[in-house]
This record gives sequence, structure tokens and C-alpha cells, in this order.
Amino acid sequence: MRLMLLEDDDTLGEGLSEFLRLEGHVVDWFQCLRDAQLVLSEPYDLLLVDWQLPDGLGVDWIRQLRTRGLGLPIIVLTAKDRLSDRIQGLDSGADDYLVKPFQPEELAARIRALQRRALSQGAQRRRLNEEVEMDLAAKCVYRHSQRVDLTAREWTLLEALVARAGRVVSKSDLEALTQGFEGEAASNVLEVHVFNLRRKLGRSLIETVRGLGYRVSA
Amino acid sequence: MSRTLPSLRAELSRSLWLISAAWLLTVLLSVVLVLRHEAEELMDEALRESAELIFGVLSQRASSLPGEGRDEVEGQVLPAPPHKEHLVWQLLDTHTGELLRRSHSAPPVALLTPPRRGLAHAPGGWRLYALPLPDGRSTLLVAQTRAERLESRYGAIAALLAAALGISAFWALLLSRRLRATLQPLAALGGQIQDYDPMRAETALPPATRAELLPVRSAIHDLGERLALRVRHEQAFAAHAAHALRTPLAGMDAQLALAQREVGEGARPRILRARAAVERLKRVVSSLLLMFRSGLELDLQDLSRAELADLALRLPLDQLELKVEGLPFDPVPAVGHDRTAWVRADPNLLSAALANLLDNSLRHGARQATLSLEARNGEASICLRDDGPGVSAERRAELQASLDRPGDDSAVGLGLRLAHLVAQAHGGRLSLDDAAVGEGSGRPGFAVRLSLPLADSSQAEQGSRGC
Repeated sequence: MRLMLLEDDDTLGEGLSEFLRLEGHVVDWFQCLRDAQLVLSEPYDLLLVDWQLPDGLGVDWIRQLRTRGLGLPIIVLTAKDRLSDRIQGLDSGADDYLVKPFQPEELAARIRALQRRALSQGAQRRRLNEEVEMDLAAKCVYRHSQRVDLTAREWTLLEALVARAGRVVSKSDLEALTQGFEGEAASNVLEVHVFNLRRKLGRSLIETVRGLGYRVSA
Repeated sequence: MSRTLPSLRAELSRSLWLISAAWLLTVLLSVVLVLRHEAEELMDEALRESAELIFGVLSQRASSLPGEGRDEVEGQVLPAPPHKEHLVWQLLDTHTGELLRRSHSAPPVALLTPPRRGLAHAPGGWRLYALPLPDGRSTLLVAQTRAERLESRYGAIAALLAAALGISAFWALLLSRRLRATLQPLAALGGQIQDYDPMRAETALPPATRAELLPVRSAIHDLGERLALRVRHEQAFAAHAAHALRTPLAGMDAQLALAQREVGEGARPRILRARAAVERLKRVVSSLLLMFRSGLELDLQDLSRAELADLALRLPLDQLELKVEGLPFDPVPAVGHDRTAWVRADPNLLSAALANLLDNSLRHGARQATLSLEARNGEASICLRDDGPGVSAERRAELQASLDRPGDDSAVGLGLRLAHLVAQAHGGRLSLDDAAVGEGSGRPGFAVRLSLPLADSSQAEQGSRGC
């Protein structure tokens, strides 16, 4: 998943973004609302937003995003733990609310839960076609019930396509979703990953829409 | 034990009644004394006037009196009148004192011998007035008995007393009602102060309705404003402290979680220990912040035994095995358990207290702990005993004494102190038990009991077991 992390604390922001990268996510970390606003047009799968930021309140920003029709899952990270704060945070449009100090493992689990909900309405496994099945919690893929090992980048690419199943995802969006702003210099990296996925999971899973991008059937 | 305070209104009413009664008695005494004197004078005057009337009649028409001619009819009695005689008269011979004539009720012997002109007391309690007739031979006596005079006097006094009492009671009732109406603004102010919450504008005190209440109202209002200001400062501080403490802690844990994945197997135990320390620090900071904030207001909820046990079982203490006693089931089911309210407490605060006590056990080397929930001596007793090394009886007494002394943190650690403060905030207490059992570990263990008031005192049952 490509995540936007909005956290002004250096230690927490750097630590979380690295931890989530190790979890297989693509993370763009910003420390203020202004910077986050500039890249909001990028294709993100989930936003992690701190309540209190140097140039405004995260919850106000979330409310604005929801008013504009943004439907991405959002998790609020905050030191505010009062019931009224939680209610305010969730009412602003957040999907989840995590009180600091939390363990990064818990945050990762909540991201997986939201991801599961987005990909398969809460089910642990999702069947992609007659041959291939995804286990979202275990981050495993099975072909003919046999586990197939994917690299972190391949998993991220497959996840991005499945999250947008039935829709064509452009190459640039896929690059952004799988690499963020730290994309690899080589221009054919995406094609290589798609080739590898087709090799491991079968050619029919990922369809090429010439001149537009790639698509996974809904 | 509730003590009934003296009532201002009752005191004023009592004073009013006492003053009224004293005033009434004084007035009555004065009036009685005056009346007695005046009545005597009035009755003496009546004797004199009556004597003069009879004197006039006898002077003019002495011959028409029945039995005139005293040689023939000495001591003759006049016929009885149709009414009761309150005054009697006698006609005596001035020189011999012999009774010549008398009214029907007059005694048959001369009342005063020899008769002397003027008012006099006669034997037998008579009061009389003597008046010589113009013939120079006889003297007229008009007399009244003492009983008759007393009856007249006391009749007047009784009538006066009844009238005075009636009038006094009427005015006292009016005064009492007036007093109640006058004190009503004071009672109203009491109610307004009771509802007054300086943090809620809608409960602001209305303007004073009496000059005397103005300083009271101003003092309460100023006190409320100062309290509200302090609470706002504390809330702002708590929010700031929460942010300033929680975020770096989360950052530390994130960095350690990262390091845990990046380092080799050799360094991993060290990282895990560091994460455990951070975890403990998180619990302490969270408890401190919670305590600080809950000092302002408790979020009281009814908690059943099962819910209370659930609070403890949900605490993230991986290295400590926790068992719960005192429940009719094990483990605690999520639904369907007995939800009868056992204690009324702030679950977050209670959870923080339990976390600190369990953390204490863990830090002192315990690996197992048992939580027992029972009603004893009319209280809800939440007892935690562990299999740690425990403390000596002297040390336990020292710790307990330190806990019981407000502000004395010389002996107890933060965990016990926090749990003690939580117990106190709920009207309970924390005590260290000596009947600890280090189950199977061969160690004495440590036992601490959190006693809270029962939500319903009817659940109280006598217990004698140790913790």
C-alpha cells in the first residue's frame, strides 16, 4: 500500500515510516499540512494523520478532505485520549483512531484491517481468479493452493492492482503506488515486476490495457 | 454518621418565640399588678358609691323601710332580691354596735363593732365601707366578701390573659411566616450554589436579590472563577503534557521496533528489554496523566465483577500470568456474564491502578499473579497477590505507614502511590496484606488489596480469609 504519513515529530515519523516500509508499504512522510496538501493528487491507499501539526489541526484537514469527497481510509494518530477527542476524531471523517504511545505493530495491524476491508469487505482471504487466492493478513498468495513467494515490491504492486480491481491503473500511478517519491531510476522496473507476477501467478491475472496501464478483474 | 446541623430559621423562630413569650410575661405581670391595684380601688369605690346611694335612700325615706321602728323589729332582714347579691349592707347602732337591719345575704352579726367611718377590713375576710346616717344614731355598712373580690379580680385577669395569648399567637404566626419569606432568598441561594458549576456558563449564579447576600454570592462566584481558571490551566497543561510525553514515547518505541527487525539475533534480547522498559514507561506516563486529569472529575460507571476482572485481563502484561478468583466462571466470557453492578468506579482509572500494581509485581520478579474479587466487611475487595520475593513484615508496615501518611513518598514507589490515590479518589483505600501465598514458587509473595465501596451494600458478605 502507498501510505501518506503526516507526523511532525522526527523520531516518531522517521521510525514509523521505516517500520511500515519494512512491513511492505510505500510510505511518504510529511511533517506539515502544507507539504501534504501539495501531493494529495498522488494515488494513496491510506492516510495516517497526526491531530496536531505545526500549521493546523489534522482533524480539520480530514474534515475538508471528506467534504471534497475523498474516500481514502484515514487513521488519526494522536496523544489525545479523551472520549470526546475520540468522538471528534472519528466524526471528522477518520476511519480509525490510535492513541499515542502505541506500538508500531498495532498500527500495522490496523492498517491491515482497513486494507482488508477495502480489498475484500473484511474477509481474510480473497480469490482473484480460479487459480489465485490472496491472504491479506498473512500477506501470502496461493496458486492452486500452493503458497507462492512474492517480493515486497511484487506484493505491493499486486495489492495496488487488487485494490483497484476492475479499473485500469496507469503505469505512472502504479509506479507512485509501489515506489512513492523514492522511485527507482530504471524506467522498466514496473514491467519487470509485472512480468514476474505473471510468471508466478499466471498470465491471465494481470491484463495489459495498451497505452493506458494494467488491470486486474473485479 | 450524618449530623443534623442547627437551622438558621429554627434559631430565629426560637428566638422570636422566646422574646415574644418574655415580652408577653413582662407585659402580663405589669398589667396584672396594675389591674390588681385598680380593681381593688374600683371595688372600694363601688362600696363607697353603693353606701352613698343607700345613705341617700335611708336619709330621705328611712320610715318607708320595712320594719321601721327598731324597738319593734331589731335585726330585721330585708327580703331576698331576685338576683345574687354581690354587695351586702348592715345598719348598726353607732354607739352600741347593735345590728338594726341588714340586706338578705348580710351576716346576722355586726361586721364591725364599733363601726368607724370609712373603708376597713372586717373579720371573716370582709371589706366594708361605713357611713354614719344623719340621725347620729345609726351607721350604714356596705360590705363585700374576699371571695367575691378575688373572683372579680381574677376574672378580669383571666380574660386579659386569654386575650393577650390569642393576640400573641396570631402575631407570632404572622411573624413566623414573614420570617420564612424573608429567609427564602437565602435558601434559594443555597440551591443555586449547589447547581453552580463554574465550568458551565448555563449554571452561573443569578444576581443577588438581597443586600446581605451580595457578599456571599460574590465570594462564591469569585471562588468558582478561580477554580475554573485553575481547572482550565490544568486541562491545558494536561493536554500539553500528554502531547509532550506520549509522542516521544511512541517515537522511542517505533525506533526500537525498527531496530528489533534490523539488528542481528544477538542484540535482539537487549532491544526487547528496552522495549519492555519503554512499555512500562508508557503505562506509568499514561497512568500519571490519567490520574492528573481524573483529579478533576471521575468518569464513574457501574462495573460488575466480570467487567472488573476483564479490565485486569486486558492489560498488556505478556510476562506475567494472571489468574482471576472470585468469579463463577473462568475465563471471563465476553458476553452473557453477570452484569450486576459490584462497584461504581472510573474504569480507566481502575485499569491504571491495576496496571501499576501488576507492573510492580513484574518489576519485582513475579511471574504469576492472582486477582481475587470478593465482598468483605461491607466493601468490594480487589486483592492481588503475586509469587515474587515479597517484603518483610517490618518493611510492609513501613510501606503501609507511608501510604497512610498523605504526601509521604519516602517509602513507597510510584505504582503503590498511584493505586492508593485511585482508591482514595473512589472513597476506598489500599492496604498491604500479610497473608500472601507464593503459589508453588517457595517465595512468600506480595499481596495488596484495593478496597472500594460496594455499588450496592446489600451485596456485602462477611469475609475472613486473608488476601
